[in-house]
Amino acid sequence: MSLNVIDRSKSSLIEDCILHPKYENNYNLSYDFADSGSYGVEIDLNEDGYDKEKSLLHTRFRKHYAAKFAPITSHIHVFQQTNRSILKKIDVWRELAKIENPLQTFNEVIEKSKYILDFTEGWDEDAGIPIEPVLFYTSSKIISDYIEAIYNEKGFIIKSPQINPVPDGSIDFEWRMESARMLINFRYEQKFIKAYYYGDLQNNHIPIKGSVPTDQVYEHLMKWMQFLK
Amino acid sequence: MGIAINGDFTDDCLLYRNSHIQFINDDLTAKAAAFSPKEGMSTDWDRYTSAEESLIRVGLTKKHGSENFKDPNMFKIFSLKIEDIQMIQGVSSIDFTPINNTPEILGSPNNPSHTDVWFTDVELRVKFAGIAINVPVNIELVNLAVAYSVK
Repeated sequence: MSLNVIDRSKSSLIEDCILHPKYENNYNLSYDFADSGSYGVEIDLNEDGYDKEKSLLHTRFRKHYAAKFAPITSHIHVFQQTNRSILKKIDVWRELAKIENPLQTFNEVIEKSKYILDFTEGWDEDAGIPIEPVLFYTSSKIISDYIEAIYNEKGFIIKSPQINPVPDGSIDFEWRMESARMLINFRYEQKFIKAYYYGDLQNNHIPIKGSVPTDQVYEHLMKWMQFLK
Repeated sequence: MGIAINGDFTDDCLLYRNSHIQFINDDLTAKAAAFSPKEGMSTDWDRYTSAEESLIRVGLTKKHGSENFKDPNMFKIFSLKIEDIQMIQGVSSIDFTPINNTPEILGSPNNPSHTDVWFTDVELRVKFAGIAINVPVNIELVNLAVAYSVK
């Protein structure tokens, strides 16, 4: 990911940042932003398993990056709360460069799947109906919205689905993993695009099933899709 | 509600489903799109056909709205076990519906094994994909039989 898109002339909006809910307050995190202050956030440098430091930086700087605002500092200092000794010095720009775009992989899937827009009638050597671009782009956009919503809430990126054309002209977004499977089928229904979905954790465990419009991210579906990580 | 079964099926009977390669993953598993229901999902009962015969009939069938025949090399065969289908709630019926036109219609071959499976649900497509097993087919034999029959 390039940093070239960041507009250094804009000041940072630290208010936009949210903290990861898994953090606890033991250490202070000091930073040099224009409106600097202390968050009082723990960074457990010795904990294994969950990468808190990475998640913290994600949480803090992702929105700056997305909004094309740049921090005006170059380093973050992590202090020991008791004696204020520096535990770690973090290069902000280096960390920003490592921040992932939650839609990068899915955007690649979309690009690779655009060939289905070239299908003509009978594309499956049967009565396959062509895939309408509006349906393709609308459904891809709403899946992107779900992926982003999950990333914003949980800080991780779910797996990207396959995009599969269906003979009736609808489109399947399909996840098949060892831990979970889900199918979201987008189709026209009375001139509106609707999503029909089914998912379970294999063997019918914690199933979810239903339909939603494509006007917004629906929380119940978004929550379940977090199994698709 | 149980599945209405019209035919002398036993639990270990297989239904062959031909699927265009568009609906097949690289690991030869089936995508859910392979089981798009439209007026019943056509399958072939293994009591009356082999997987090769099933694929040969594909090669003897004309493409939709065309005088050209389908290319059997563009299809794979999956099997669905009756016992597995019966475990899936929501399948309304399995109907043994052999097709036998006299004289046989060119481009629409008779099929003594034809069986329709009726369902209408996204959930069921996911579950069919989960139970479908790729059946290896001798494609050279199929191509030879198709070429001989079409001539």
